[in-house]
Amino acid sequence: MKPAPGYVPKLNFESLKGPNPILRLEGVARNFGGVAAVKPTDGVVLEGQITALIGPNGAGKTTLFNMISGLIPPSLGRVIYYPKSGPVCLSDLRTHEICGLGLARTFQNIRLFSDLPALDNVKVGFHARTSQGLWGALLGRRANRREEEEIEAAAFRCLEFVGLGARAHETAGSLSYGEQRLLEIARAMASGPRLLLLDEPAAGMNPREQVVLVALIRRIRDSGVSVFLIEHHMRLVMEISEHILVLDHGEKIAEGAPAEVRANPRVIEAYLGGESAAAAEAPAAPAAGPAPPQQTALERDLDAAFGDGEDA
Amino acid sequence: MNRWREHLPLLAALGVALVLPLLPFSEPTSKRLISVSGFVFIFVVLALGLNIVPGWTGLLDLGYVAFVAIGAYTVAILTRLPWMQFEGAWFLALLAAGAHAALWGTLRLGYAIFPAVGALTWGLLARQPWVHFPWDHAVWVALALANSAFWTWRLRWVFRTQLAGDYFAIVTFAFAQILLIFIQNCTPVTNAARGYSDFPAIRIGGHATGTGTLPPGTIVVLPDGKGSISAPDGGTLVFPRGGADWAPVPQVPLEVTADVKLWLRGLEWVNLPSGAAVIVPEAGYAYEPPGRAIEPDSKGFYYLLLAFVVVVFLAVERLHRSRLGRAWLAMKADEISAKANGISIPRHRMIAFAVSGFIGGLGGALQAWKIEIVTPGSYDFWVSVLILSCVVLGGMGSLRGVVIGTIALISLGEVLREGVELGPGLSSFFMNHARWLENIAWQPTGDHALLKVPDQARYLVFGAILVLVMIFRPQGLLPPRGARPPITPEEASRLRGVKTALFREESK
Repeated sequence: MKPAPGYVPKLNFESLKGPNPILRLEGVARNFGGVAAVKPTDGVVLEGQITALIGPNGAGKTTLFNMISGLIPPSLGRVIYYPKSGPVCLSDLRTHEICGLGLARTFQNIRLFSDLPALDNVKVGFHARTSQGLWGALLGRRANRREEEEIEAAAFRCLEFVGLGARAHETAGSLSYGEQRLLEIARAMASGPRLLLLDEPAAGMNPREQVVLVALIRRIRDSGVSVFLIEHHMRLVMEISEHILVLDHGEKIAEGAPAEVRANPRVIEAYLGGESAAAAEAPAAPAAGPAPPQQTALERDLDAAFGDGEDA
Repeated sequence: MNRWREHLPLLAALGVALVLPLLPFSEPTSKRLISVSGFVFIFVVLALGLNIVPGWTGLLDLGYVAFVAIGAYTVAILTRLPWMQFEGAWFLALLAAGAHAALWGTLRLGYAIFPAVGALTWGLLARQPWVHFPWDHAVWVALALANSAFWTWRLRWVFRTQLAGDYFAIVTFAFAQILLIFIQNCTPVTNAARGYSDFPAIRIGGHATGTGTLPPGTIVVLPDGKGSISAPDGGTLVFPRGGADWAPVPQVPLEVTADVKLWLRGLEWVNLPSGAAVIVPEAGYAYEPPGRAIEPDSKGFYYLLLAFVVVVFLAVERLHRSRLGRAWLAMKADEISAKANGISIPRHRMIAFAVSGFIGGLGGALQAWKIEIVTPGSYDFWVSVLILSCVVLGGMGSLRGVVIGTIALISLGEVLREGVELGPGLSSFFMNHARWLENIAWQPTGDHALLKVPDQARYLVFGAILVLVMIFRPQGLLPPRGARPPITPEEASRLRGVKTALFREESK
């Protein structure tokens, strides 16, 4: 859908009636030395929905996630988070405090505690929601023992939630790549988040695992947790997300519903390169014809499950 | 229970330790065994304390001996104070030693700021001609303290930067060295190189006789003028009555009103008949509280140390399984991930340093009581290395490993110190083929060789052992267990049955 010449995007009043934002980026930017990793960016993540952050490699997606979760402070701007207790400026808080507010994340390069059993990894996730301290641990009072028991049970249930219940006692490092990603999600869910940041949850997963992952992300969303995810698999993104932000070279180039974003010429240009922008009409069209012959049966299943989209 | 099965070798060791003094060994063997075991117990306590920092939070602590020294000196100084002479004061002193060490455990990372700014402020003020007035010293002290506190607060990021990586190893090492220099030079507090050698023993129970320590140079004159006993390096006067109603510092010379016993260090109990005079060269000697003194080589002391080992082990094991212990392990495994999971790194490190310091101080205090002397010489860098070697040998982060490793290394050290007489075969081997090791690894005794390694050379042996362990078993003898046996259906259903508000799949 090539926009007409002289196209001016109209103000979309419909979106004002939509769900509340749970996270708002207000001119957030980050420089590394002289390199602008993220240029001043606005955007919202919507409550109770799945929001995706997409963009080519090096677009600054993970940097943006790191700024939201407090691992690196923004050079400019601020991140506003809307927990039930009222808006908070995340840029003023330390990482562990942000986690305590119900904002959990996973990592692109898996960061599990690989020598610990899977169950203990998830137990660590409950840290922000439990309170046992030095004296509690030393004295072993009834309330503390009770809390410890609850942590163990809840951790096990988190593992069952992502389908790793049977592997609770294996070390995290011995799990397969896809299982490790699921374990990261379980650990993040343990902190009882209201907003879950997933940094490329499907990376390195085979198609079958991806199907499971999509169902899992939907279940998380249905349990009332807003999801903000970075993903490269366009098919997956277009399928599950209700709101999309597109970054390119550290700049937000589009934001909106999947259909809008898919039609946006700047997005097509960013993904396919300037010279082939004209050729980009075809992939933007719905139903891109028969599947190529080298596709496996599994991939065809996936296509059936997710519909056809371009895959970056 | 599962958690005890893991510690089965330790329970066996505890059983052996419990009956060891009761076994029918010959008198000297038994005494030596009790004495050596005492050292082993103290080092087990110390190694359990050290293990928290490198084993669980993953930071290399090269200055653990500082806590040992702080604990020992705290006890040595506190127990001499006149107002610390009551029943149970030893326990209070022990706790104070731990707390003092714990305080420095948290402070040592920023230790340079406070005294440096204080000294600078003082120095600059004292040079100004216009600040000299009556009470000026009080003003200087107040300003120096305030300025130190201010800059310590302003520069608190130093605590955070020094908390990590190689800086931590350097800072802990430096702290221990600086502390040693302080101890060697601050005569009014630490008695410099002489240290403290006759602080009161641990006393339990209040029914026995009271004692008073006489200062050096005391002369006791017997009533019939037959002679006198002098106590050149102090003696202990034991009175036959209960200690609750002690009079303050007695007159000089002190008249003995009933038959009493005098115990002189290095001599034996001497009965003093009524009417003897005790001439004290200077007034003001400290009274020891009533109670039964526990001699450092007695069975009582042995069991006391064993009790401390058990208590410290249980405490540390609890911490290991708690939310705190998990946070430590998480920090060690991946700092960023730990932060993102709600763990405050500085806070949890501080707790680790405090706990580690507390146990170090406790161990140092017990060691001071055991060796009955506190001098700067016994707190050099090599003690840190020895304790660290115990931890590394056993397996960093694994409690059973740390305990077993410490028992192995420290008893080996004690055996090499005491010497082992070799059989004829080994003797002839050493005498014929290892002449060059004479007086390094062995000494000739008659026609046998005595396997005995002098102090400094013992570290060569430890070093060789560590190198072998690092080559063949780098994770230590008994490394921490990662995976557990797979989850059983019963366990799973039990976990599913626990009611908890922490996890709900349904919408929130």
